[in-house]
Order: sequence, then structure tokens, then C-alpha cells
Amino acid sequence: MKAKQTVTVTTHAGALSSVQLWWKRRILPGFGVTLGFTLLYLSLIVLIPLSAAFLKASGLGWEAFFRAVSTPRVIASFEVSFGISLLAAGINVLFGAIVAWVLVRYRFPGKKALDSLVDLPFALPTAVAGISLATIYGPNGWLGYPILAWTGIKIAYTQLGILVALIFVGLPFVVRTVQPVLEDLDLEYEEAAASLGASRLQTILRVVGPELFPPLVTGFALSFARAVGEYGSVVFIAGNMPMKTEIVPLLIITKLEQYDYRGATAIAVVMLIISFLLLLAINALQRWSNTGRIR
Amino acid sequence: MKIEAKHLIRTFGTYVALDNVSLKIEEGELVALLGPSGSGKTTLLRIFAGLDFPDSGSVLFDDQDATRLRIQTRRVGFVFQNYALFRHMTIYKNIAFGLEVARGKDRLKPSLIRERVFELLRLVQLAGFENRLPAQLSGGQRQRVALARALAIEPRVLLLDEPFGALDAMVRKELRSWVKQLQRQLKITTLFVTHDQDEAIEIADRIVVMNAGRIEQIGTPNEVCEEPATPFVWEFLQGQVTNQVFRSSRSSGVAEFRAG
Amino acid sequence: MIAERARPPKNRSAVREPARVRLALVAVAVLFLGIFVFVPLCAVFAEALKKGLGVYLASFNDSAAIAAIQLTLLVAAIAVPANLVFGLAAAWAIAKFEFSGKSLLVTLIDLPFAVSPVVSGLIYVLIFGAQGWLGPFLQAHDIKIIFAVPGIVLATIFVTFPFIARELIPVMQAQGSEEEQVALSLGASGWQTFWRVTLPNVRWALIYGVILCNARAMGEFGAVSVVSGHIRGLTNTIPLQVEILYNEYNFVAAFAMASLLAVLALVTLLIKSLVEWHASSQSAVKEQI
Repeated sequence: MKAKQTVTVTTHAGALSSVQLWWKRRILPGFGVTLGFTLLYLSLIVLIPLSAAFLKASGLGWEAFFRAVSTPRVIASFEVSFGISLLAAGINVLFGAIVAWVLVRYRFPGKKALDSLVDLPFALPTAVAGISLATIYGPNGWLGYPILAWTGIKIAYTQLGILVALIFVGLPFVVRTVQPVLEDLDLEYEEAAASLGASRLQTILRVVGPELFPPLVTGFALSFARAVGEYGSVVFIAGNMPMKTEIVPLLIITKLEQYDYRGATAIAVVMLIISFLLLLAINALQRWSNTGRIR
Repeated sequence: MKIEAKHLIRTFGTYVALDNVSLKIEEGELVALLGPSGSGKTTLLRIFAGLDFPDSGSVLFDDQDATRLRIQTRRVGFVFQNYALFRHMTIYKNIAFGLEVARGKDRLKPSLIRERVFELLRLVQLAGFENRLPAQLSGGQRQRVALARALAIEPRVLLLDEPFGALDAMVRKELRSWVKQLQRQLKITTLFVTHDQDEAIEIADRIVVMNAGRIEQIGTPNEVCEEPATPFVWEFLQGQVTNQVFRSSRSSGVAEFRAG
Repeated sequence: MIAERARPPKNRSAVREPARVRLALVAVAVLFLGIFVFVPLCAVFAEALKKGLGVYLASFNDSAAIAAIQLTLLVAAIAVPANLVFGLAAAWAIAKFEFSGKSLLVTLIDLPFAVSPVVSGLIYVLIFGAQGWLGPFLQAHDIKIIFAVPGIVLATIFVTFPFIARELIPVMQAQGSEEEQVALSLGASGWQTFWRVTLPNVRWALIYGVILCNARAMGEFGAVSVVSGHIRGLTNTIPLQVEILYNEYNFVAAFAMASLLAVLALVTLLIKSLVEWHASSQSAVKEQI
């Protein structure tokens, strides 16, 4: 194999047609094998099962499909899932930005520990988080009890409970997308603004703000995407009352348990389409975020 | 405005950046802070700007103590080595920045701001570039925008941190004589940091030679070359030709010679 | 030895907020993370040990608990190596070569992150379930996938396969392919190059990727919930067992099982810190060379 390989200069790639580009000999070996395996794996694990879902749903026919996803209960569950996910993502953007700022710009004891805490929702299994949150915010819980006593507000088994759980799962995303951008930001820009007379607030709004906007939007999208499909963390604290605190993933499971495969599939297909769109948006956002940055 | 440093000491942990530095700069002078890396020249410049504060000693602007004054209120024009132009703003917005964030009685009417920005664009020979973004400009052009931006707020003193360091040799030469000419025209007190002896000798009225946090000598280019006060100065400026008797500057195809 | 520094360390006081603002922001950050992250973490252990260490340990003696632990370990033992091979192959193809469609491939790899775990489980039911595509075929041959271990393994693989690839790809991309080309020029075969040059260079990212993949595989709930049928003693993983115990109000046992996974999460985070610390000290060494 070594003898047959020619060393092609990749910089001349522009002169080759795209077909030639695909098939030209590469310097490093193993391209065919690894790419082939990768595509095979993806097909078996992802593409084929996904097509199955779409095919099954298309077996329904448009009318039945729309009927399945537009019953009041289904629509209510979409409202609950999407509405609260949006709110949770928004809250995560606000507080996530503060956490990222504090972690990058300040020094204080326990900062490393705080930094590690940010990753916990990412590493902790959803069921564990779920029962823990349900217990804490329940009527007898560490936080649920005092809040109930002081303000009369119930958290567990209400939409507030769902909000708390979704904030938990989406928390790391905003912080981790903003942090690298903030770290790369040269302080000179802020010094320049200060030398021109801008107050600290003006500097942050006019100079730092535009730099942070792309990662904040990306973090919002990631946080939202995660929250919308979340099951384990939410299902214990939610109360799961149809029309009020029933999230879409739970509705899918309920329909499955009732052997309403068509209904479950229809809803799942809607979720899948939204997932695709979100994924495309997130990739585009991440590319937008990375333009102009020297890595 | 004249500026003065009195007995400045600045340490970072055990590292002594400035060791009892005193210096007086007269109104309208163009002074170079010359020295190798780590000599303290940038620290001194930043203390003058208000981007840093000394451990002890004082800074005086026109005989008034400005040591603890925040940078926002000092009205100094600072140009960073890498220009620090605001990437997301057009050239116009960059130059107008200092005027747009001004508050109270310093705030100009929008029409006056516009006038001022275009005036400055003409001054730095970048008329017509107002809608471009920094990324679309060459190094030399960005440098001139950075200067225009600093001049917009009508600073009392111009502080330039290795202003020509990021440029290639030819652009550097052109730009430095241009800056010299500009400074003469505006008569603004200017202090610039450099490690390039040629640069300092060619355009500065006086040179402050620094080493390891101390001032080795202050004098005209002629003085530091012909009459070095310490071995370091001699060695650092070794072999520098100062056109002996004459100092010259070139601009627009005309060469000027001044005796002495 | 660090030579004379060009710029002394800066004390950039012109770009700091006033002390009161800083204090307030730190307080907000600490409170936010404290309430939303730290408290839930503590609660797991507090609730598990509520009735004392004896009851805590006794929860693991239960046969259902043991079966759940064994199944979880089994699933991880299959899913993680499979995803490891995938991750290495995908990272090699993506990081070292240029080809059209690369960004589509990367997007596909990211897919499980955007798909709800319940939907992930559902699509396997749609294929392998009794009413699914292959349902009749499987029934005819008495092969059980859904409501059995193979289904759980498949669903777990789906949900966790991006992790290793995503850890490896940026690191391998950043390292370029110079060292590999040198190895080839010295006569090494492709495999030798891979084992001796590429792998050692990415070992820390690899270790973290494997640990993270493992943690997620053991902790997966939604997808497995759909696929497993909840058959106690047979198709329950630790997270599913946690759910069952909790729904039976057997809180201490539920939290005891949960604490196993919580400890795993903490170990994962610890290893992440170690990996990052090691990576930064390595790059510092490189600068000095």
C-alpha cells in the first residue's frame, strides 16, 4: 500500500473537479475504512431507525397525521413543553451569562469548585436529578416547604416545578458557549473604550455585548433543544396532569402504553422535525460565532 | 499640556517594573520612551494613561495631581499596539465612539459629531473609508483610524504604545514621519513607546532611554547618541547614525534639515 | 527558564467593575448554582443516608437491585466499546481528511443531542417492536429485541455515540497530521502510525470521552424506559430501578441506587478536571521548549 501511494499536494485541490477531489489519493491511510465504518454505523444506528419513524408516520396519511397531533391534549402538551422550555432557556441565558462572566473575569475562593458545578447537570443522570428535584421542591422538601410556608407557592407538581427542572438541565449550555468567547476577548478593547471616556456599563453594552451575542444565542438554542425533549428530570416533579403539566415526551410514552402507536409516532415525528431544524440552526449559529475569531 | 512623573514605583510581586522614575515632559513635545523588553516603558505609559496605578509616586498633568484619576476622566488619547479597533463597528463608528459616549456638557450635537468625524478622516487621509470595517483595512490604515479615534476626544496628551510595531518596514517609515508631521501640526504633547532606536532618533524631540525599570538618560537624539550618560545607553544606541549635526525629516517629497 | 518577559503581568484596573458590583455578581452566580445544582446534589446523598448507613447498604442486597446493577454494567460494557471504535473511526476520517459532506456528517453525529431520549427509544420500537417493520420477522424467529436486553443496548448506543467522537474530533483537528506524515515517511504502516503516534497524542481526550460516554450510558433513562418494558429483575437498569422504587415510595432505596450514579457523575467531573489540568500543563511545557 505504501508503494502505491502518491503524495498529492492538497493545496492544489482547487484545480481539481469535485469528483476528483473525492477520489484523489490521500497521504494518510485509512480514509476509506474509517469513513466507510462511520457511515455504516450511522446508518444502522441512526438513519435507518429514523427513516422507519418517518415511514410509519407517512403510513398514516396526512389527515390522520394532523388529527393525531392536533387534539387538545397534544396541543396543550406542546404548549407546556415549548413554552416552559423557552422560559427556562431565557433564564439560563441571563444567569448563565453572569456565571460565565464571574468565572472568567473574577478571582475568588472556590472558583474551581463553582466551575465544576456547572458541568454537573451534564454528567448527572436525568432520573437521579428528577427524583432529587422532586423531593427538594415537594411540599415537605428542603426548599419546597419554606417557599410554601412563606409565599404559599407550590413548586412540585406544577408548571413551576417543570421550569425548575428545565433550568437545571439547560444550565451548562449557556455558560460553556459563552466562556470560551469571553476568555478570548482581549481586554484592550475595553481599555480603549475606557480611554475614550466610556463608563464601564457603556463599554460592556457597546463593546463586549456584540461579541457575546452569538454565543448567547447559540447557548439559548442548545438549552432550548435540550429542555424541549427532556424526560427523566421532569417527569417526577411535574405532576403530569394532562392539559396542565404534561410534557410531550411523557405524552408519547402514555400513548405507547395505550398501544396508540400511530399517535405516538405522529407526535414523535413532529418532535424529530423540530430537532432537525434546531440542530441546523445551532450549527449555523456556531459557525457565526466562530467567524472573525482567531483560534 | 505638560505632564510629569515623580518618583514612580511599580512592582508586580517581586518584579520591579518601575524603580523610582521621574520625568518631565513639556507642552507640545514629542518624546520617545526607548528601551528593551522589560524596561518598564509600557508600564510608565500605562500609568500616565490611567490604565495602571503606581505603588507610590505621583503623576501631574499641568502641575495638578492626576495620579488617582480614572482613565475615563483623564482625556488622554491612547493608541494600542494592535490598535484595538472595535471590530463590529464601521470606521465612522469607531472614530465617533468617544464623542457618542460623552455625557453632560461634553456631549456634542449629532451634526457636530458628524462634522468632527469627517474632519478627522480627512486629517488622517482616510476620507471615503467611513463605512468600511476594520477587517477591510490594511495595517497602516488601521493605525491611522486608531489615531483618529484617539484624537476625536481632543485629548490633552497622546500616548502611543509601540504604534508602528505591527507594521512592515516600509509602511513603518512612511507612517512615522507622517505622525511626526501631524504632531507638529496639532502641537499636541505626545509620548510614544518603542524599542526601535531608528524610530526614536528619527522623530523624537527628546528620548528617554530606559532599562530595567530605571531611566538611564533623557536627552535629544543627538545627546543620547553623542554623549551617552551610561554604558547601557552607549551600547543600546551603538552605531546609530544621527546625521551628526543635522536632524532631518521627510514628507511629501520634501526633506527638512534642522541644525543641532 | 522563562526569559525576561516582554510585558509584566498586567493589573488591568481600568476594566474592572466597582467592588460592590463584583460582589453582587459573584453572589448571584453562587446563589444560582447553589440552588439549582448544589442542593439537588446534596439531597441525593442526604436522602439516601436518611435512615442510616445500615439501611443504605441493605438496599444493595436486594436481588432486583443487584440485577439492575448487573444489567447496567452489561449495557455499558457493550455500548462504550462500540462507541469507542466508532468515535475513533469518525474522528480519524473527519479530523485528518478533507471531503465534501463533512459538515453534514458532523451534524449527523450531533443528532442524538437534539433528539428527545423518548423519541430515540420510540424509533427502535418502531422497527423492532411487535408492530414494527421487523416485528413479524423477529417474532417468527423468536428473537426479542424490544422489552429485552438487546433493545436496551441499541437505545443506549444511539443516545451516547456522539460523546467520544465529539471529544476526539477537535483535539485531533488541532493537532493536524504532521506527526502522522512524519511517521509514514519513516516507514510506519497506517496501523502503527495510529497506535504509536495518533492515539498517545489524544489519550487524555480519549479517556475523558470514554468516562463521559460511560456515565451517560449508565444513566440513560428516557430512551431505555421506552424500550425496556420495565420488567423487574430482567430489563431494569439502575435508573429504571430508581424510578420504580421512587414510585413505590421506597425513597431510601431509590436514593441509594441514585447515589451510585451520583458518585459516578462526580468521578466523571473529577476526571474532567484532571484532564484539563493535565492538558494545560502540557501546553505550558510545550511553550518552554
